[in-house]
Amino acid sequence: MSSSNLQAVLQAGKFAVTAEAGPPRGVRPEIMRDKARILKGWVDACNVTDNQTSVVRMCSLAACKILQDEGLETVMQMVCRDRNRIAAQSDILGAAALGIANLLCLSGDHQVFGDHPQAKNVFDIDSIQLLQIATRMRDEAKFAGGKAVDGAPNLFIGASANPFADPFRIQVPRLAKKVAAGAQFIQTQSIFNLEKFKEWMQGVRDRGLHEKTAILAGITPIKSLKMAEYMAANVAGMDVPEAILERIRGVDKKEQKQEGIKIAVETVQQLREIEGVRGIHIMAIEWEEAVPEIVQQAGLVQ
Amino acid sequence: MTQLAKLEKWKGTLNKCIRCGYCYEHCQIYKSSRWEIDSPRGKLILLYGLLSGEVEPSDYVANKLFECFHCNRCQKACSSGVPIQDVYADAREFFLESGFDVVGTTSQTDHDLCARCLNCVRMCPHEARSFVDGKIVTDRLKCQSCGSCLDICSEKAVAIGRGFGTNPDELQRSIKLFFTQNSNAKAIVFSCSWSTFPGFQTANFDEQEADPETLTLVTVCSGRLNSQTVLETLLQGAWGVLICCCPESDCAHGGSGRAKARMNALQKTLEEIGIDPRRIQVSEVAQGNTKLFSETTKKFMDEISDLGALSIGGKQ
Amino acid sequence: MILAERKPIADILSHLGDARRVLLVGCHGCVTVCSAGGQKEVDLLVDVLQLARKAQGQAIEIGKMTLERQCDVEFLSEMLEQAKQFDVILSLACGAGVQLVAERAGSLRVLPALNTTAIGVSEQKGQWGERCQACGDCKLPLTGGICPVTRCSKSLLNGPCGGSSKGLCEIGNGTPCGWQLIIDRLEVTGCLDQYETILEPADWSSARDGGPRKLVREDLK
Repeated sequence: MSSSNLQAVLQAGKFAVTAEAGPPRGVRPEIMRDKARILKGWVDACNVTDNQTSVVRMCSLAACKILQDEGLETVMQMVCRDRNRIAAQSDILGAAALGIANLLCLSGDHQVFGDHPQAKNVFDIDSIQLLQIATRMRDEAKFAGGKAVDGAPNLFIGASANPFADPFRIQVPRLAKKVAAGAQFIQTQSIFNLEKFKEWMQGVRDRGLHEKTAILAGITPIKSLKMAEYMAANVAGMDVPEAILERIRGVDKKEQKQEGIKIAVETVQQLREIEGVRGIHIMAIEWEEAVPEIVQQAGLVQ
Repeated sequence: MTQLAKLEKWKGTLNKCIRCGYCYEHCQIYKSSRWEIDSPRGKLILLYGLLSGEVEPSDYVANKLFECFHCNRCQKACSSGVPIQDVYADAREFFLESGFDVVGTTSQTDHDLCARCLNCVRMCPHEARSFVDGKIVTDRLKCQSCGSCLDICSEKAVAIGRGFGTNPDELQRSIKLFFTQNSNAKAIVFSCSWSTFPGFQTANFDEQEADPETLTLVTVCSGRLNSQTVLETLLQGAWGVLICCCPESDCAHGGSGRAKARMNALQKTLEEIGIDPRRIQVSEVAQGNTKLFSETTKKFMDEISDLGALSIGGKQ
Repeated sequence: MILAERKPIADILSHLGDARRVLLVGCHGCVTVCSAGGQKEVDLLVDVLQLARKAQGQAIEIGKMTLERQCDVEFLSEMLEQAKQFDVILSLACGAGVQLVAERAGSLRVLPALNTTAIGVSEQKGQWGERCQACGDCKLPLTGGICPVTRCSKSLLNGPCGGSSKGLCEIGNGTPCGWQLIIDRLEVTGCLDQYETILEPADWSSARDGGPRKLVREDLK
């Protein structure tokens, strides 16, 4: 058992809350400390993104340490786009040495989206292989190449899932693959289309996967109509139903943020009713203040 | 002679031809050679002779029937309503089935040069080319002599025997002659058999100019106009090149779009080598729109007169 | 076949510099099939270079030849003999051909006129697409005959990623999602149960990552 508080919360059967903090595009640690102050006490753990959308930011490892020093437990996100298996294992050792308790294994957005589209993409391994490697390091104290690790990194390991990506029929088998590879918890893509999410969860339950891994449902509060329309049209794998857009359109510009919070809270309440959902993951992009609001209004205060 | 019976049904129709000659006013084949036998009227007379027994079927006669660019201007111009292309179609079938060695203006492939890349098969807008038993095969009935295959072939393995002025080498000869013989020569206008050519016949050409500035040359389809031919024109001293093509929706060979894309790429190349891209222009002129053809040509000439000649080492 | 396309003219001109005598060498192989470096393309490039130099007021002498292939030395000898009368060879072959010529050209500079892009196939008239990354350890039996290394923009061996949408890859420009293609093929061939088998991390040492590859056949020596 790792030292992960998130794991402890889930094992105790409580409804977990995680959030996300993006590191800065520069060297100033105060930016991370400010985010820690906003989120501390409202979440069981906070994800730190890893060069999100292929834009260069302070590395997840360093940013996690800064948050941790503020007393906030972190989930270190690791993408496969920028590092090969040597660097990935090296970073896992570093995370363990610094006391980071949780790891989220991701493929990573293609570099075409970021500020260095000319970069080589690495993808030596994919997210499922990374899950396997991290699990093996922890459970067998072995590197991917077979040699022994001096001291197994004690991590609570997770992956992402996107019930809204295509092809839909493969999204449950895909989850099964991640669970088989070692995913102990799952954080999903932002949920706006509850019907589709419920359909996916049915498939998940049919295979008993909800008992093998802890599913945290993803939430993104809408900050403005422009943001909602952008997500609906431009983000691959994001499903924003017309009804949601209509709701935001229907309110005054000044009220849009509040409506966004309202929608998020309603979604949380509905998600709590779904069997197999063990918590929520709030991705309030550059709007960390929304997290305490949502947690309070949804009655999730512990 | 049972195959000839198919043509018998046209005997009455062939009688309708009053030998007025409207058909050959619009025929590129005739305009190129000026021989009666190359005109639609002449070909109809040949067929009449076949049916009356005065003319023996032969390779020569067969080839004459296959020398055609399928623009159908002759049929549209016919004052007696003779369905010329329909008659041709049956006559061509007759000659093929009778086993005559026919080529006419349809495309020929040199199998030794052929790289078997299949680009010509894909390019053919009339599905006339296929790859059978290790060789390219041309369906002589489907081939409309548009030259798209000739143009696309990287190996220059496709040829059209007699181009009647439309083959790349014939065009290049005409261009060279024009620029060496005319001190005032400034531009070439490439028109296709469909769009501007018929209009060109009735455009404003009151008298033969003593020192013409432009020469209009006909390609069967603007989509097969080689980039190299256009560059050669500039190298020969042209101030500019105008290509008139059919509106894309009208193009019988799907070539207008290709012509535009090709000339677009050429314009970019010109820019890269420091030459004003306005020296090459593509304009859509619908079939028979004489007025637009004249206006387009005039506008183009005004523009390139401003640009002047391609100077050595100076601003281009 | 190997796919290639002509470099921007400005690049070719800048690398040619002041060279007075240039020998253009085409290839009847792959670059002819994708209409990039065959005889026709050589002829066109000759005209472009002549026009470019004329515009600059500089002379140029251009020779041209198209060889059977430039990836076999035997085809190069006659050309290399003729090349002695020139200052530079401008090759319209793929990168492999250009390099073989360069290896054999002695003191003569050899320049590429093309950018070699991929190993690929003809998709439709005027369009070719990449299919193989020459990883040296073909994974096609495991993925329904569609290459995950090449067709997936992230080379995932256990895809798709969360960015797959309506059969298209998140990078856009109409790129199909490689894993959608794989899943469709697995289904059609009755092999969809293969999907949940986790594919282990690839051994990239057989790919270019392990160093430039060599193919040696002792039985053919």
